[in-house]
Amino acid sequence: MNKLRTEFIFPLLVLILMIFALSNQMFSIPPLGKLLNPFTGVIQNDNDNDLDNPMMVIDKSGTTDSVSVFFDKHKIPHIFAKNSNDLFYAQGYVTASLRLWQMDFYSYINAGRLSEIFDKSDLLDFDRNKRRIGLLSAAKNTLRLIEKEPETYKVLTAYTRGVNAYIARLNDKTMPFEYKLLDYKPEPWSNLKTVLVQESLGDNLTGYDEDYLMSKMMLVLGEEKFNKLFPDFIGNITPVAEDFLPQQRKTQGVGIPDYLNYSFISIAGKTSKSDYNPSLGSNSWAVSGKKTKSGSPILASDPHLAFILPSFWLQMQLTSPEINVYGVSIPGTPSIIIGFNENVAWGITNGADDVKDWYKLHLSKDLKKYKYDGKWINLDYRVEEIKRRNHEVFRDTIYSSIHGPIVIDKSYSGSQPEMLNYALKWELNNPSNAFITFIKLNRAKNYTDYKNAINSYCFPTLNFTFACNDNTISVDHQGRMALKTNGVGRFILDGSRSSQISLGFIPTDSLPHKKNPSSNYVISANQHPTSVNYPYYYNGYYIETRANQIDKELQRNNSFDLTAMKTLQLSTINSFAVDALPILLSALNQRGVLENYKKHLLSLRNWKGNYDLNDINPKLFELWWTNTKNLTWDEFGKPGPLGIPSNYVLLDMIKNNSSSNYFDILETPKNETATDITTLAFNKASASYEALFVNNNVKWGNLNKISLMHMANFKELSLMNLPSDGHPDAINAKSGSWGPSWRMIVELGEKPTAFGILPGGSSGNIGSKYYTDFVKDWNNGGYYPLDFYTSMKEAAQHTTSHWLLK
Amino acid sequence: MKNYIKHNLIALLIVVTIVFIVEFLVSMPWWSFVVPVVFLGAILSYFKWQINSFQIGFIAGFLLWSFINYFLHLNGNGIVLTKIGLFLSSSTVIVVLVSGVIGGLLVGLALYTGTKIINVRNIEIDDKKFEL
Repeated sequence: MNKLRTEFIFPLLVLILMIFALSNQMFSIPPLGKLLNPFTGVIQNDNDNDLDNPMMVIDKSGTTDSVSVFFDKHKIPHIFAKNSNDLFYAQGYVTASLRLWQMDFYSYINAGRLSEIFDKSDLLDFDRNKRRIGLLSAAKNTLRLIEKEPETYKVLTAYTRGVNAYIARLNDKTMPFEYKLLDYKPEPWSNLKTVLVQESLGDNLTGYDEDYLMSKMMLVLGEEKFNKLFPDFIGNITPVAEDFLPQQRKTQGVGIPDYLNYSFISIAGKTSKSDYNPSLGSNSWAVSGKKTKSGSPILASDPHLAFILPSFWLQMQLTSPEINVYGVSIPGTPSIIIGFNENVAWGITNGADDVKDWYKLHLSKDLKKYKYDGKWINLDYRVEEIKRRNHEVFRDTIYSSIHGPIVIDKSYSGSQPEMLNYALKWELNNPSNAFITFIKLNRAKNYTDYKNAINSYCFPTLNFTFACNDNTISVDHQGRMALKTNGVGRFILDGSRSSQISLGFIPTDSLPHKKNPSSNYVISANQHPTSVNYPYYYNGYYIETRANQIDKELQRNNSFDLTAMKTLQLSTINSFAVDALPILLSALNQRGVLENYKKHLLSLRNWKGNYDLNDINPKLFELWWTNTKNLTWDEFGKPGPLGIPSNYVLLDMIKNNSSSNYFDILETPKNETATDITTLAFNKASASYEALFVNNNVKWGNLNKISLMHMANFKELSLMNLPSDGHPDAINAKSGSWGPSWRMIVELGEKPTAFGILPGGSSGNIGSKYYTDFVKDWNNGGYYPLDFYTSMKEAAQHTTSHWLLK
Repeated sequence: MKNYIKHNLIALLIVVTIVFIVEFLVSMPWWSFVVPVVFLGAILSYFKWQINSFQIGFIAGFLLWSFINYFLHLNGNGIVLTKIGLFLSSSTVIVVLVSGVIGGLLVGLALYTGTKIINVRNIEIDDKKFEL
């Protein structure tokens, strides 16, 4: 009885090995068997069966009453629920069905958990950084705070349950594409994950700082020169808020801190480039009915963020007996962040205040204690476990002082090794509840409701613009702004003294704001919140150009309509170029311009500062200005964009102080002036410009190419190198990897009329027709009418797909 | 000879049906179809069917994987396989063919493995012994 043979063992082993190999990622090749089998592989994601379904009943969805979700032709969901609990539950369910992987991935990024997904050693540093700057621990603290606020907790919990109801329905076949590609599964959603996703805004908007660099500059330059070259205020600004009576604050400019000397900080070391983009900005403005054709107010908002796929925002309408709101939400968080309802519209821009400071600690030799007011205090520490795919758990010990965590230490150099043993004090690590502000804004009916909603708002500081159909308009620079004496926060602080700790925050009612001004419009575009007359000291990374341009345009017209607002939102005029060109042209010595470059000069003279697709002048101007900067600031070494005075400081010097020593080029015996510099810069610029002609590449669209990157940085899943108009200093701020992530224009009235568009689509499924279907129109300056339905009946009539959650 | 072709064709049909049914009816790991195919191989050899097991399995797997993938690609949005093609620096058709080859190898190997489990000649001898 020898029925069984051993011959089968070899092929069986080969079979098992093959299955194993095809189920797992090998080197950079994804698990091909899992991906390519036609039954549960990626081909099953290649459709829009649910989104195109005329009527889909979702039984036992977990709602208390039935909820209807209508998808319009752009597949924007309009959710109709019978109570607000069901509404946020359904928002969670619908958002997950459209964007589960994206929201989940955000929570991994901010929790410092990417090493769990990718077997890439460089991501460990990324994860450690996120833990060390405190994102995960801050999220846990914020969650504890939120759990004490019943309404927020209820909304977050309903949302979480909705997301989990969707996850529970997934199987191998319906699993979102990226989970298949990267070979992992979604974990249950939680309120903590919601808080982590929400942190993205604060992290991106307030992460940039120049404290180390400015400390060096102050040391090298001394007080007088520093204040001249790096002033807190420059001449031509359009502040967010109303002006204050002059001279309430006694001193202007900042003094050199008494502790700041060559033994406190080394000026020899290099200064690393920040991981953060200081140019991330936004525009938002509102005009009252006195300046519109219809007599109703119009509000516009376009937040500028990194371009990502799936798109950062998700459009939707949320309706329940208490709420009927339309706008954009952040996948992973409840409510609408920028939007409008029947009565009000609101927009947000980055407040751009400096809320991130570094303290130099006086550490003991064993690095376990730090000196504080003459006493030695033990450093606290916590150990964070970073799980890693295919590797052992990494345990990171993070020390912290009274000021905050030590990000860079001997075990971790990160991307800013010069910050060794400095403690980070960042408003992000101060728990606060931003959710309740937006929940209340969603149902606001008037200015009082709006004020009530934003009053408790803390972080990140934002400019809220507001318009109500009773013609109230307002802008509020809202958030926690620390009370500081002059200059505090611009430099590295001395961590060994309690006097260096802020004593509280600017009172809410003293925060910069403007309501119903006589100009009949309000503007926020990351500019200075106030003029120099504001009684409190503050500092930040403000940008004035867009606000100045918006101000010019809003002044000019007294009968705005939606079309005029679209034109304004799409304006490619760089107001800095407009300001700079006549000054440069008059400084220039025409006879010094090489003969064959004179035609370029003529061309520039007729240029209006537009950065349009086919315009050939923007590049020439950019080159001219860059060369002017480099030649002038040669004293500063070649630090690239780091550590040189702002454009307006230089422009002012060219205009008013043309014989300044800074114009002297160190290498030459001659003593150059602004005229020499601008002329030489023009010749140099023309030479580089003509070199570009060879490839016929001077048209701005060919040079200003933008890319929408897939969140996991797969080029294959991204939209790369789209020729675009715009400039970071123009209202239409399209540039490289960031720009208008949502454009919205709302005219209030009996019923709001609104237009909007975002760079992406509704669906987060790479195989969907609705993944990037807005991009072309968005890049061409198109808008879609936003369908705001006042009843379920209206929604049913105008939409083609309907999900019924029972 | 006729029997030989008939057996091969029938085996091909059975394999295709089994894989198809297992994958569409049961929510199990993506490779679970190989289990019934191995059993089928064993059963066929028990009944002394003379088939080119690997070739038949390969053809069945290749046809199923490539055909269904391509069918869904044409009837769906036609996006996903193109993107996968970018990852493999190749065209959609190559992706479909690669999927076919993978399916073919797995099913072919499974069927071949199955036919090797049972020693047919021994069974014959045993049967005779039993008759005696």
